[in-house]
Amino acid sequence: MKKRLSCSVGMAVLLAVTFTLGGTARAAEAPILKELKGAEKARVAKLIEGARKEGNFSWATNLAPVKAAKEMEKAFKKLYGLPKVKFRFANRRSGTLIKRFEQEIKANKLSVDVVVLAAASWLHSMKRRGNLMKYVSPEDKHYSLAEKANMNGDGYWVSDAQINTMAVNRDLAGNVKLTSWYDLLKPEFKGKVLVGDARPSETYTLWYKGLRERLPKSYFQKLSASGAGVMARGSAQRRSLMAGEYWLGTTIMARHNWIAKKAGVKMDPIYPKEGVVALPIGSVIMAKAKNPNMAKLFVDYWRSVRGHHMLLNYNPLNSGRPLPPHKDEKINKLILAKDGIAPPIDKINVIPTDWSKVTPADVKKWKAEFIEVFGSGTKK
Amino acid sequence: MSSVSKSELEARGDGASPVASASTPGGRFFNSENSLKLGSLGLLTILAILPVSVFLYSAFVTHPEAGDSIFTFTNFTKNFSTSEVFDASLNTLIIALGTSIFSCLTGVSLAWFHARTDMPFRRPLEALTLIPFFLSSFLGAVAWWALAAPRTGILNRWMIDLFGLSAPPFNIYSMTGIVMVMALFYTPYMYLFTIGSLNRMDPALEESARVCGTGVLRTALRVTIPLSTPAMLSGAVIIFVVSMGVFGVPSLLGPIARISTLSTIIYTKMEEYPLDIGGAAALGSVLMVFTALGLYIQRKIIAPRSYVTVTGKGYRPSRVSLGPWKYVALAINCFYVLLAVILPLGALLLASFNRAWLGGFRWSQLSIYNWAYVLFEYEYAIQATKNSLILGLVGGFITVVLCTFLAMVILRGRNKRLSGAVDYLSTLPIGVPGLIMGMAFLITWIKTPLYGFPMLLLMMAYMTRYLPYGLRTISSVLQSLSSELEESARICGSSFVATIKKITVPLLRPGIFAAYLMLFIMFIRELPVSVLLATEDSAPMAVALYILQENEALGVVAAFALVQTALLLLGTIVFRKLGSMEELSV
Repeated sequence: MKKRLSCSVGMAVLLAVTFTLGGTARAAEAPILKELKGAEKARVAKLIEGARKEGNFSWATNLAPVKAAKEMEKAFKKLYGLPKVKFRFANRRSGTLIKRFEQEIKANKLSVDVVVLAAASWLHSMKRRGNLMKYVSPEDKHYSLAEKANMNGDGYWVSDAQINTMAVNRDLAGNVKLTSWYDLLKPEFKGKVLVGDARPSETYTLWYKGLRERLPKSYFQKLSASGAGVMARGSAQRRSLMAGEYWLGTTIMARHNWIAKKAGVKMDPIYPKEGVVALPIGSVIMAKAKNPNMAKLFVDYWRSVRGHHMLLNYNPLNSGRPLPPHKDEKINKLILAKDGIAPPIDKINVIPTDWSKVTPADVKKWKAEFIEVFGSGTKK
Repeated sequence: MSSVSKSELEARGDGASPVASASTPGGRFFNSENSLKLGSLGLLTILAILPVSVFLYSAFVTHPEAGDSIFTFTNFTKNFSTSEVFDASLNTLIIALGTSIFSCLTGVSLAWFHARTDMPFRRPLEALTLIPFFLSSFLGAVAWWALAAPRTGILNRWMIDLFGLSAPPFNIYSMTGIVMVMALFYTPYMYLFTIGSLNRMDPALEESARVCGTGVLRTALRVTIPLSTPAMLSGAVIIFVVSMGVFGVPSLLGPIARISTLSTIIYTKMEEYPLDIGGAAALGSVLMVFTALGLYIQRKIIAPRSYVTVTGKGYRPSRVSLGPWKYVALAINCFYVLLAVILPLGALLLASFNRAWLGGFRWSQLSIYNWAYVLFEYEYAIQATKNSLILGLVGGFITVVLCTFLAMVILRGRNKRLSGAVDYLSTLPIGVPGLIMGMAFLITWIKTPLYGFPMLLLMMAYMTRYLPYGLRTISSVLQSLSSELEESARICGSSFVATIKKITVPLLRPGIFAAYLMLFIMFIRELPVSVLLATEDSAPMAVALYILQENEALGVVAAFALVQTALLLLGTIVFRKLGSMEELSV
């Protein structure tokens, strides 16, 4: 009996040693570790080991389409030597994701580890309620510009930017020079300007609020009087600009210009001299994430130059950190200060906003003003 | 035939062991008839009553950022006192009324042409009339945007070029545009609701009127249409309530004309943080009040009269001869097909073969990229199609079985109060807009193990949302069947189950298949609930289309929409073959 017991213990120890050594050996094989040294190498190796045990990872965003997410997954798995980790991904509008996660948090059934969203007020609320994990990634030090623009979240997140700005269909407007928001009031653009409808959208309300820091109410009244169209969804605005129904958009995100260009329409973003509103896109780890090791590694990757370059190739967004050139000229073109679809925020004049102080009451107030200026509920 | 007393019949239940089942009071109650009915009611409670109760409860609470929910009436007082909501309510009423009136007129007319008249080319036109049902009204709005946007719409450009007009003749960004698109795409609903009862109608009734010298139109208006009142009222109530809650069309076509509706306000409350679920539920409850009101009116109108058109007597199917008017009927049908099928699908087809949609088909943009992407590259396409088929086939089948039993409880039940209650409760989910239903479903089931099975959850949510459609379709056919047929079978000693199997189901078969097909199509198209509840592995086609819409150009969306339409068309053909539905349009 004693012999059998000691035999079993011996076997268990042997197995444990094998697995530990095997695990370390596999972690050592991860390409990322070859680039790292000292404490950082040990930290990442430990996270990789933990991630391997977790075996799963779930993330969600309103920004990366499925193709981008799949490519990121592939590249991440290769870089971190984690081929067997099962990824789950959801690409929905921010409101839809927030609804779901809020209910999951209440029911203590959170299904997501990492969320990447352009939803400033929700991120701040989540932080206040203790629903986010504090995690300072080694990449965070590069986000000083986002910090200056009050976009970061005190160690809970650093931000890239969702910039809804002016865009022009060059096929229709030609090479007309556009440098200021006031250019939209020129007589030749009468009835050809499209504005994002703030009534059903916090994003467009915040755009309006931000621009009002630099532009008077009378500017928007003139824009409305010149027959500006109001449209709710980003995808509908993109379709409308591509088809030539309107020539100029005012609330167009980088990815919509990119989709248009991909389809062969010359749609350029304009970053006017008065400035643009940059909504924070926070990459956050949930406090109750089931796979915290994987979550930390993924956030490291998302915030890295590699992650940004990867995303640029599939769905460009304005980076909150400066980006060095990439060997692929196509990607470099996207991040040029002039004519680039998604230049990092260090190359853009961003109107600073303290996002932590934007309250629902503010949103309501600015929305009411937008409705007053652009009208609502008219029966035609 | 031996005479059997009513009490004996009630006690008999399942004919397999009538003596045993009737031997004790418990056995008398728990026979197969009552068990099946109780099971249906239990399922109804789980599917409809629970989420609807959660929805109603939400209207009376607020959720502060920290702390528990607070019971309140402010969701009503705060929301119903604003001019924005007043304007939106008025717009919503106009849209819902316009949509219901136009789709009822068109749908009933087309169903009558196909079922009761000698209009030429009925067979091909039957299939074409149903095609708009395969597209969501939102996609219809996108297609009509490509056709009738003031500056870039194909039709506007064409008319300006052809007639030298100074201004575009059509403006899709208008109340008229919204109502037109919705009416076009809701007409097949009305068609499907009425075609079953018209097909099953004994032509002797019309022939009697004709023999007495009544004209064709008068016979239709005085005999045929009134006998289809239950089906028409069902359809009208459903279309009215559903079009009040539709979000996609007004959200796309409304803003330019500054038209907001209750659904767009509800969307804002549900999509913005902090979420105002209470406010959304309070506004949504208006739709539920309208549903209950519509149902009440429908029951009041129907109750005093009999709509039995199928009795134990045999009849020979025949059609009304329209004479030269048959060509007018044909022209009306062709005009509908032009507006609802050829033009929008044509626009989508053209867009799908242009790399970029520049407001019209351009040879310079000719490309098969969109199709190649959808068919071979899009990651979600195959998985989403599989998921949709499973949800449509399995979920549709279970719903149809449930609807059949519920229809029998409602129309054949001896307890009128219970029948009325079941009728109301099973119809109320229709008054909950999809966005809120998804949320109510999430809140109801998130704390249960069911949340770990997203496909099952989706199936249940679909069943809840579309139960009223299936029920109305089957009910309207059951209403036209005389209960004497079933009673005769029971008197002859047939059990409850055997009577259903041998008498009710065969007679109801067209209605059952029509309901199954309708549910199959609706399950595949469903978006607002799916987008909230579906995970990556369980995403159906509608979610795949939604993701494309956000991230790709119009051509890709158009190609995927056409694939979905083709799949649904194929499904319809298979259904018709399997159900031997040659005599029925669906």
